[in-house]
Amino acid sequence: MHDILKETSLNINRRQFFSRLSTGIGGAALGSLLIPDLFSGSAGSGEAFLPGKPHFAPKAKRIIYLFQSGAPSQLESFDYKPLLRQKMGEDLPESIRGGQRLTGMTANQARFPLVGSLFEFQQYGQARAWVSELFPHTASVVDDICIIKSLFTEAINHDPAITFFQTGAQQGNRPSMGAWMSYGLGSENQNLPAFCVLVSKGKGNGQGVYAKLWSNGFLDSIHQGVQFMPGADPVLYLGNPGGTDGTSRRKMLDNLEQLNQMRYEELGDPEILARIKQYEMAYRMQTSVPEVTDLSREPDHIIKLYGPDCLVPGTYAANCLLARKLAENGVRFIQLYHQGWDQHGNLPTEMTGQAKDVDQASAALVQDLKQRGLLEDTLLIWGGEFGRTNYCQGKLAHNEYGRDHHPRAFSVWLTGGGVKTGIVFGETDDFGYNITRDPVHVHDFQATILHQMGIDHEKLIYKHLGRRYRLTDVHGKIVQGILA
Amino acid sequence: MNPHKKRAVFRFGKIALITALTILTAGGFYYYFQGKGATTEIGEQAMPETVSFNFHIKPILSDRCFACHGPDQNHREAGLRLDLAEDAYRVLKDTPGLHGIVPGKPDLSGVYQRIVTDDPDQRMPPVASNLTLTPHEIKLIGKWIKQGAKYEKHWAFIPPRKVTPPPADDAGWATGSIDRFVWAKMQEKGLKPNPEADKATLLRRICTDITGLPPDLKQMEAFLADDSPDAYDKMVDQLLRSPHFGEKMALHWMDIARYADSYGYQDDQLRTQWPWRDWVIHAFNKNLSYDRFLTWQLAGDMLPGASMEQILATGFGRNHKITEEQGVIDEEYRVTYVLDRTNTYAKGILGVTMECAQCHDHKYDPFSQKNYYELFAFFNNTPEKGIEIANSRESKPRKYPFLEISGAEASSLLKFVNMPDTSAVAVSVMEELPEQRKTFVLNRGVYDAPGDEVAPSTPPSILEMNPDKYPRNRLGLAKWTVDSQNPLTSRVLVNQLWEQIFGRGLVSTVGDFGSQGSLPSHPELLDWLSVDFVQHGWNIKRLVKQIVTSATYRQSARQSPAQKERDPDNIYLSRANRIRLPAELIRDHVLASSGLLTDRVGGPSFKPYQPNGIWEVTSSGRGNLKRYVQDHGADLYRRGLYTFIKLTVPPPNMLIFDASNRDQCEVARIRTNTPLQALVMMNDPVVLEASRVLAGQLLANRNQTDTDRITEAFRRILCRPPQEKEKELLLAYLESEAVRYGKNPALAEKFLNAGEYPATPNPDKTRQAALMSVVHSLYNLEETITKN
Amino acid sequence: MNYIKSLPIHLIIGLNSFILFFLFFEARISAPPILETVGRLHPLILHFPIVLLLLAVLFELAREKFPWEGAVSTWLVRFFLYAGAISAAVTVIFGLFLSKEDGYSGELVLYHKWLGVVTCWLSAGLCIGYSRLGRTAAVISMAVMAIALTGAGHYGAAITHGENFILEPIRPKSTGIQDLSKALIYPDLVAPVLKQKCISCHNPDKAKGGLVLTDTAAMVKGGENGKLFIAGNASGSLLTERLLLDLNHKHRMPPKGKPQLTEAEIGLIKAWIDDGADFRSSLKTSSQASAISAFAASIYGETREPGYDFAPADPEVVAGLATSNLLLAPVSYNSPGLDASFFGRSNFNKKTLETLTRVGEQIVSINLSGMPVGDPDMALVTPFINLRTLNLNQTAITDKAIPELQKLKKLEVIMLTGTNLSPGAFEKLAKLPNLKRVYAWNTRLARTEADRLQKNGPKFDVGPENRDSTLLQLNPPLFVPSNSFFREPFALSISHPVYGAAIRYTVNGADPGPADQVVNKKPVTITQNTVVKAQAFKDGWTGSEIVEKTYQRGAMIPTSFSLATQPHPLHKGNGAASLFDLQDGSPDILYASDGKWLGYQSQPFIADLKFDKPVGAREILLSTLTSVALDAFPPASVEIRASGPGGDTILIARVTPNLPQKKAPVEKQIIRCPLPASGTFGHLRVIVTPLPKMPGWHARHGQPAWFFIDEILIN
Repeated sequence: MHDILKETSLNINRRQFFSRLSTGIGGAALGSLLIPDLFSGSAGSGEAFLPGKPHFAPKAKRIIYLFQSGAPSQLESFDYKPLLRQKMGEDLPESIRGGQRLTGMTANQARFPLVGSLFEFQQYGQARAWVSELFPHTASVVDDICIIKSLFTEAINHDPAITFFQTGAQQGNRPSMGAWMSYGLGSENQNLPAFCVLVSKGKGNGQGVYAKLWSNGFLDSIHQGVQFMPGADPVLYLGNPGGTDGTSRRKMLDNLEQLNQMRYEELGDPEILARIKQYEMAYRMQTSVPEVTDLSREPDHIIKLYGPDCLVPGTYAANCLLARKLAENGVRFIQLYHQGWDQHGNLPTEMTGQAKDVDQASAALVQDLKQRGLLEDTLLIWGGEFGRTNYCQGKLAHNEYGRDHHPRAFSVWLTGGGVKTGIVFGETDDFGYNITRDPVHVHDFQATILHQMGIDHEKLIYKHLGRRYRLTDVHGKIVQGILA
Repeated sequence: MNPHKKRAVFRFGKIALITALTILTAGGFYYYFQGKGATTEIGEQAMPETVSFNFHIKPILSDRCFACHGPDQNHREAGLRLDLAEDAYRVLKDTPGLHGIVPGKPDLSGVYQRIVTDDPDQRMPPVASNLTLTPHEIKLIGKWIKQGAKYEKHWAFIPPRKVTPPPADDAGWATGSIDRFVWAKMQEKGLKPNPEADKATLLRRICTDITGLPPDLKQMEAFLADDSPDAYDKMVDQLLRSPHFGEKMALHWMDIARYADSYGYQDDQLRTQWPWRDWVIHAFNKNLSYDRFLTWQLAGDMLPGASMEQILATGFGRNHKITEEQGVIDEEYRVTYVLDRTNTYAKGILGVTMECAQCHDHKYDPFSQKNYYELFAFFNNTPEKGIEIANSRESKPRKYPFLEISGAEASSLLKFVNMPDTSAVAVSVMEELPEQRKTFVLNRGVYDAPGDEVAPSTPPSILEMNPDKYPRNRLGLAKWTVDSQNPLTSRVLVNQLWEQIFGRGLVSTVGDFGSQGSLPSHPELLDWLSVDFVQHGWNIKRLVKQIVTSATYRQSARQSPAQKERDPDNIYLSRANRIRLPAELIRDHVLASSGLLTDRVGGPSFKPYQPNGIWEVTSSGRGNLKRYVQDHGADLYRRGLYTFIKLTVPPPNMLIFDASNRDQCEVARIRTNTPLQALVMMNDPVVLEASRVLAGQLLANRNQTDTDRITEAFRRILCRPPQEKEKELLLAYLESEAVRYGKNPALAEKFLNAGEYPATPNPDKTRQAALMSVVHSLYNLEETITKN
Repeated sequence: MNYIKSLPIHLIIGLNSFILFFLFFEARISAPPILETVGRLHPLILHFPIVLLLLAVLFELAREKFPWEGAVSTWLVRFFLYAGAISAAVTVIFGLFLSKEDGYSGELVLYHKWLGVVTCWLSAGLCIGYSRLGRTAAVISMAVMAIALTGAGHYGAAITHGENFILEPIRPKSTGIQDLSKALIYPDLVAPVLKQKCISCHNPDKAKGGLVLTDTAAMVKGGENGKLFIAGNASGSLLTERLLLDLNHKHRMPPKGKPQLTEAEIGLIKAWIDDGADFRSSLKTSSQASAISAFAASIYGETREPGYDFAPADPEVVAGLATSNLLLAPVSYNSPGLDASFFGRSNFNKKTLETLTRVGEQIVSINLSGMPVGDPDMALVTPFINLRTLNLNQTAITDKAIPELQKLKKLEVIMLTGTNLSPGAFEKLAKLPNLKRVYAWNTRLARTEADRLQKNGPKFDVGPENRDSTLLQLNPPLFVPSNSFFREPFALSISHPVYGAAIRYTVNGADPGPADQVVNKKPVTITQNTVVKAQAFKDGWTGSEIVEKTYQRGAMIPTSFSLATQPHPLHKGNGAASLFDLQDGSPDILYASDGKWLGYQSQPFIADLKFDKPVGAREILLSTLTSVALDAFPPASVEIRASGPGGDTILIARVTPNLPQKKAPVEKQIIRCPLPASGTFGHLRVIVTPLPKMPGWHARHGQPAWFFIDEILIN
């Protein structure tokens, strides 16, 4: 009793003593990022693009994410499984499948006949990494990339799986990775959006992409991904209408500013000043964006590096080249989507086409960034939302088969931004069905990406409707093994 | 040494000892008080006389403590629960003999000790949690315990009481009840109300709030001319009678009901829920009382002898996204839909964030996971499927169960459904299974992890569901929802309306009346309004009128530095808030003021101008919405409310202005101010077209001078006469543009080539282009897209 | 008076008796926080007694040497003695209070305490006894006091700064690990970090928080706040938590003001814990091997990041300098070095570069990639003496810039990709003392030369094999406009995205060859129905595929036209307007058409075309769609009727297209209806009857087929 009294009173005083000594215990501890809307474009602040502060020294300043929508087969790309060829047509042992839930497409399939890759594999680079013949260019840069063969996810259907990858949750209107990035770090270049999205279509069976994948969720709409479109107006509503030009626009804006200013003097609403600022920024975007998206200046050898398609607006190659230019110009998060990777059937043919679309340009991007010294601080990622089953869906012939969705193991590669290159991380069993070493959950992957950007994934928090949200929810472990 | 000396030395010693100690203690106290001074610096906020649990303590506990010591039993640490008195007073599990909270005795309360201790291992909240209590908060808690640690039920779960409004002020400003409450608060905060705004501003304001359309020139003249005392009230009544009132109100309800014209998810094909939207507009227009409005939408199909209209109303429950992705697991998605329905109901109608209890007991509010699935059970009883089709070509614009409306029915029973042609249309609606489907608690919210079975019931913490009063089904739920004893329904609606009109709810977290939500700025006013609302038969039009006729609403928006400094967010309403118009109303305003608007009410959604390729590039290449086929003619100029919403690719110019993407129930939109918004206003064909057309109309009138024309344009767009300075600026601009286009008529040609609306026969293209520039810049004024 | 005089001595006695009392009851005393507060001043005031007493000793020793006579120096010595004794006593008392705080135990503290007390008492004794003592006695006792004093001071220092603090600098530094692969994780990699940054406060003598890091057993045991780490779970471990707390947080370890752990060091410790926090395991066997060796490399290896030896710039100034086209920010969180990146070629302004000299010392990296800068501007870059990285990719600099660049002695990385520098230039640059890496892709530097240069110089990146030699096929040329219908003759332009590609075309149906005409910019004029074939060529590429496009003319347009029968709601296009809008419908109508088609099923398509004055039309073309899979068939029949003088309508043309085969491709078909050679028409009616029953071979045979039309052309 007496002790309690003494103890508490003593503590109070000591606490007061400290409150005098150390400034704002805890208060500052969480870092600026915990103040919601610190960098948002909300009332008063014209500094919508104000760069935020990383939690610690970042390895990467920006990200280019080459998302392969529809889930490319790991078994025809990076995860070489000779056993599947030997056991061609045999049933997948139940012991291996271990009660994995199946999609409605194969759930009522009588058998699960294993099927090996139609395509040859070879080892490349110092890591002796296996790469299939479909990706010759990627193979030529294996020493510059890090292949992860042990990614796994929870969803078994496209929509929830992609949404999970991009927003950290299968359902619900959450901000996407790029929006978090924009919120957390802002943009390097004030005249461009912090988060740009480039979409291309492949020849293969596609599943479409959704604006919610680059949604700002509950963050301010300034953090929403800005979709770059092929053709005249790279950014929606960017182009001046016919009969006007920069100079006449300038005149209009000056006129507007005077009128708005008058209004401000009358009402004193800071929002008016903010509006003026936003018009100025829009005006600057109108000059800086076309400058970035103009690919015509690119020399021949660059075109050949990416392949001639890189000058055809809207192609994957063109988007890769554009991605490099955006990176050069300080865009924080560049999100590409290439569709058509959903090979439930007719895999050999479709996959060949898809690989042809992306292989050269992806490898080209690695080299192009590297040679400009951009790879040092640009994190480049290639991969889909899940893998594909080692057994055949539908009709099976050695040169004609399909694969269903497989969440338990799939491959991605990444490079730059402090990632250790020339290595292969993680391993799957001989059936290519389960992970045997270094499993990487999607949340771990996200945590690692944030970490490379200098953000502690446990501290990048936004409080919305009474709840604290994180990209990695309550999970995520940084994958040290792939960090240089 | 002789005794004398000895004594001397001894005496000196004594004196010295005393002096020494004095010095030390003095020094000590010096530092002690230094410390004290500093802490008060940190916690500036004044310490209230009596600490209120709901207003001072609950927010702190909820935000920093409940995560581990709250309602969620699975994550409860040390068996300590702080949201209920009896649990908090108990003996601590780990330290027998020590109670969590001992009323009146902070020092004896384990909780308090743990808060104040400096020992990082003991300290609460734990360092690792990234949470801390400010010294002020700690003091508050201490004082609260000293004053007896009295717990109160969460304010929002206590049925509202109607207290008599405070007395009117002597200045005669605060006459109405609303104003008297507001005035009292202002007094408290040392604020004075702004004078009433000028008539022109007021007119535009009420038009925006009631019909969402700007007043036309006639209305303006009539209103400005009419100086009878009840001119304002007459105008309000006139607007409330307008069919556009329903459209304006529906806009907000569409966000709540997550209305869309496609299914969402992959392929994202067409659905026809629009007849339900027509009903909502109709309901608001004929002023269907809010209790029936809700009852019909929640359980219209279960009403005895349910009419077609009442069944149609239940479309509300079927607006959620529906998958057509091949290979999904039926049950997984069926459950997803029910979850969506449950969350929409909780968030949109009860204003509580039940979804948190989907995977685990609610961390902040007294909703257990069991409670959640008991509520879930009400909506879990429809014959709907998780996935209906085997391939995307089978897609139908409605899902089972649905209501088929023939052309004949539309022209007799459901006159308000605005059919485009004679062919029938079907709407997905609710239907009840003959016997209750088994419902289980779903662990982690996962469809294939069922736990204990539960029966339909409502969260007791809000209001016990009296079994002999209500059946345990959706209809019962609906009745319970609009029970006059339900503490939330009316409060939430009043607050949502208030937010729509003032831009900030009396409870600023419109979607969260729970512990984590913010407290009402004017609790008595909120309660008075909601009780009054119920007492007068849930009459929405009456409520709207009540609000817009208040002196509070009619204040001018001017902000003095003093106001800005005292009350930057204008929480205490000593001025009118200037609010950026919602996306849809910006469009309406542009179309109406230029005379382009097609004001047909209801009907299918339309497809406006949209930059090329947005749908195409994202679509899977399947489905009837793989291509964007823009509409032509009159349809092109319909109100924003009717813009076609493809869930996977919502209209970009709307999203840029913070429109809801309709993915989920949204109760209040954020309002941002971005460069992309500037780009839309400058380059969206609709704005340019409107400018062109308006310019053409003005020029058509030969006997007008440029000044007249500018004045008229200004009045149509900003609904007030321009000031001299403004006129000059615009005239000058007109001239400079005229010169520019004069030099190069080809440019004028190009500029005028905006939009599909037929060109007004007009010889002088240069003139029109120049005038168009002026109008265009008027549309780009901050004032234009702002409610002033 | 007398009393005042004797005050000091009273004080001394008082204080010392207090000390005596304190020491006697030490165990029982628990200092109230106020006094602990006071205690914390110990380190501050302890300097007084040291100085004062030493001075006293000094003066005592040097008495004779002084010019002035005895009395003064005696007075001086006395003065210093008194002052010293008082301050000594106070210091001791404060020290005693401080020692009550936790973490002050062990030998060091013991020695320190008693030596301090001894010093204090000796000084006190001297004050009282100085006058009575003889010279020698005084000197001796003073000497003893001095020694005690030094001892106390030394142990004090040892407590706060760690043992051997004084000798630390002159000791040999722990040299980096020779061979990581052989390293043991804890002893070789982790322990040195702890030793360097932690044990000064966590040793048996000064075990702050009861934590001792000098022996592994104690580490496992942890401190007052519980276990130090959970093997295998770094993020859950107390140690990691403390290391990662905000610097201002009172529990941050090491506390503010002490030397901090680098990111790599923290990473290493985390990895070690995740690995199982084993004290003996070796790097080879570790699951975290890659992570650990990576961290170890950056801690012990060469690649340690160089700290900057300059103060950070005033944030105000930095903020002031940044413009909308210039990002000026620390290279990393709380680093003094600044990174300046320029964006937006068109808005680039050299002045901005000049103004940067205001933070010239801090700028360590400049990015001018793609900016309009040339040789003369390099002079603007040289003032940045601390520049480590310079990005000049795609700039107009030439060899003339080299002399300026050579002034950047600290330069480590330079990016020169896409510049026109000669091998000679790189030769010169390679001599820069600190240069580590040169990006020289697409310059005149050949791979062989690069290899030679980087033998004993910086690393050169000259990029992948130059693909200029490899032959790739050009992509096909693009036609503008893309519509295939026209009314008036128009200029067709055929373009190609690849710069300098030549496009050869024919209008006679033959494949274009090297001999054919070239369109470049100059458009082709199309006057009548034409099939254009085009192919793109360029040196170093193989020719593109041949693109073929048919242009159909519809010279006449009725003054008014209308539909007598309405199209199916699913395919109502833009109504009658679609028929003469020259818009192509896309043949892909699966799920939904592009809104340019009018679709009819089991009801005829009837269109009325009226002309103000009768026209001598000779043919009517209907652009239709055939897509067997989607039930789109050519119509059963097409009839053209003209209204005769009596208003009666006369059949003037009838066409029955042939049915497609089962394998017929999806394609647009022009149905040609020749009109009587003579005669003019004021009102034409087009009646198309869709195929009522699809042929037997069709999946839905017997059911009515669709008829799709997107344009009518009249000539």
